[in-house]
Amino acid sequence: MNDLKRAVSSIRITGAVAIVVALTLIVVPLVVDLGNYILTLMVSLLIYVTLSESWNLMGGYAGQVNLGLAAYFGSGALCYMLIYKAGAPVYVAFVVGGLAATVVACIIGPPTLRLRGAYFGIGTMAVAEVLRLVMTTTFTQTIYPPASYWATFSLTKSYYIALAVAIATIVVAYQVVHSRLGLVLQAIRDDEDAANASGINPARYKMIVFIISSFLAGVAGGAYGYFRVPVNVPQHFEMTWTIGAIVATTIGGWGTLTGPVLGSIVFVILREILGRTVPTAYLVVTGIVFVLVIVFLPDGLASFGVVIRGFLASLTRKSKLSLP
Amino acid sequence: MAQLPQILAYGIILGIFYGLVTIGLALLFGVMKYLNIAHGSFMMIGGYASYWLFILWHVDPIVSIPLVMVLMFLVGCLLYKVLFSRLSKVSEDRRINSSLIMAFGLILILDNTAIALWTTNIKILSTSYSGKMFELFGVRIPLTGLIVIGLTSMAIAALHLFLSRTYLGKSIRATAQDWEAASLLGVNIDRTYLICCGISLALAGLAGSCFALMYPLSPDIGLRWVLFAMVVLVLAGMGNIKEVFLAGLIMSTLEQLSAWRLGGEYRGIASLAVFILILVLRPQGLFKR
Repeated sequence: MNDLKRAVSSIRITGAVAIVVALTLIVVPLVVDLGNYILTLMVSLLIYVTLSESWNLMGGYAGQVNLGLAAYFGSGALCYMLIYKAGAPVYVAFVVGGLAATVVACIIGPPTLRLRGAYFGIGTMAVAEVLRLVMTTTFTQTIYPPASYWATFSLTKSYYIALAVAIATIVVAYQVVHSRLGLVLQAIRDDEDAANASGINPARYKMIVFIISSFLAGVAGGAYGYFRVPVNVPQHFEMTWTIGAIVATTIGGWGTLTGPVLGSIVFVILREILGRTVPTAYLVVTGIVFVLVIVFLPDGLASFGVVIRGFLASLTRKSKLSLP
Repeated sequence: MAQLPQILAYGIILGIFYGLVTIGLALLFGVMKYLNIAHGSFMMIGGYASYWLFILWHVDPIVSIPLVMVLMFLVGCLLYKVLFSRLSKVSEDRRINSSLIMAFGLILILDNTAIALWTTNIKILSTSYSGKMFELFGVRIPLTGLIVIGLTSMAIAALHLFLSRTYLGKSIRATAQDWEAASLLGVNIDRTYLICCGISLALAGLAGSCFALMYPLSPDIGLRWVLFAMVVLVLAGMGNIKEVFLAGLIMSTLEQLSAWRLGGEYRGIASLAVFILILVLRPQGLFKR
């Protein structure tokens, strides 16, 4: 009973903190002029938050390691750009970008999600590589946005788009995790046989979350395509996007909602600081930090509080035992 | 059509090499259920090792192979001691994902260290016999390709003898079948895993030396080649050595034919597309019934 109360209160605290952070992020740029540097950094951070949250739904909650996130991100960015250029409103273009990513997911999902283990990772990685190679041969020139884009563009608008996408992603992830679907996914991750024996069709639920995850990644691609122009298409299909999302999620903690956010913050700040001080070796240092986190904090930064609490509890317990 | 035998000859050399790259990966996957996606990056490091031994001390890459393999064996033991041993107590289902994520960190470290130390410029190891060609029934065969086939056959023969004839080899096979049962029968699982990791990376070192003999080196080869090695592994149905080489030959022949018919930039696309198709139609691998 006590545990339940503590859990409920901790959810309330996290929720309150999340709302305060979201309000701060919405209000502050309206009141204070943050400057281009901070805003650019924030957009990049919010894109990573979206990407790693969407990766986490698949990897952290359902236990399916997606090695081809860049394919969905890239398809989203490409289709957003093509639709937008054809004259559609920008918000429609975002949705179409997300749907394009979903189509890619529908191709590779059914054959690989039926199988266990490494197949899904290898299959998604192969699809991403095929798309990257196709894009490299097809789009040799960068795509320029239509003239109306320049008339309405501002960094602040780009920031709000990225913020809206990130908040929407977190809300969707929250809804998924706190629904029947979320429970089913965690059951599949923990023991697929047991889940199957309980009357759950694992392939079906894995497919549902794969579609949600790739749609979100596609919308993130669109938001990035809006922010970074002109669009160099093959660059959006690079493996670095997948690696970034995986690194951020792992540093933050798999299977938690706060983890990808914390991880993205650490990842982007590390990249910014190290990119200035040791530009040649910053990814090496990021890799070392990543491995250290895996070794010493296997559940990520999100578990930091639990680890500290456990450590303190073990201290007090020992001191109690040592009493005569 | 006159070019066809020539294309197939290159296909065979490439296929054997795919097999060599995959064997190290398959050993680790088969025995320990670790998917070491950094295998290609270790191969890249092995290639650079043999390149620098040649440039700095003029050691012929063929002569330096034992040295590179021993070095990589030690790196493999270190890798197991420092990182992979942490997963040996985890259940097999979770090992794949956990080792995959660890290996991601290794890719970041290895690839970017290589970029920082040796820049992204390609390095070409040119020995006195690099461009030499053999002519057999009108088919031109590069000498380095023949050397790679010879070295691969020797390595595979040695690996086969080791796995089938020695106590240690048998303990590795027993561990692959059922590590809990093997440990009940007195096999030292930890030591078996250590040796296995060492052998896997030694094979990556051999593959790296062979790579440096045939192709230009650059720090980004790791991910591309490990993807093809994983594809070959899936096609072989995570099966035995013979099937790995057969799957490697199928992939390389497809690649060569598509490069010939559609143009060089489509070589990877066509073979990977066929792989995805096979995954859709025959997910259990090509050779399983």
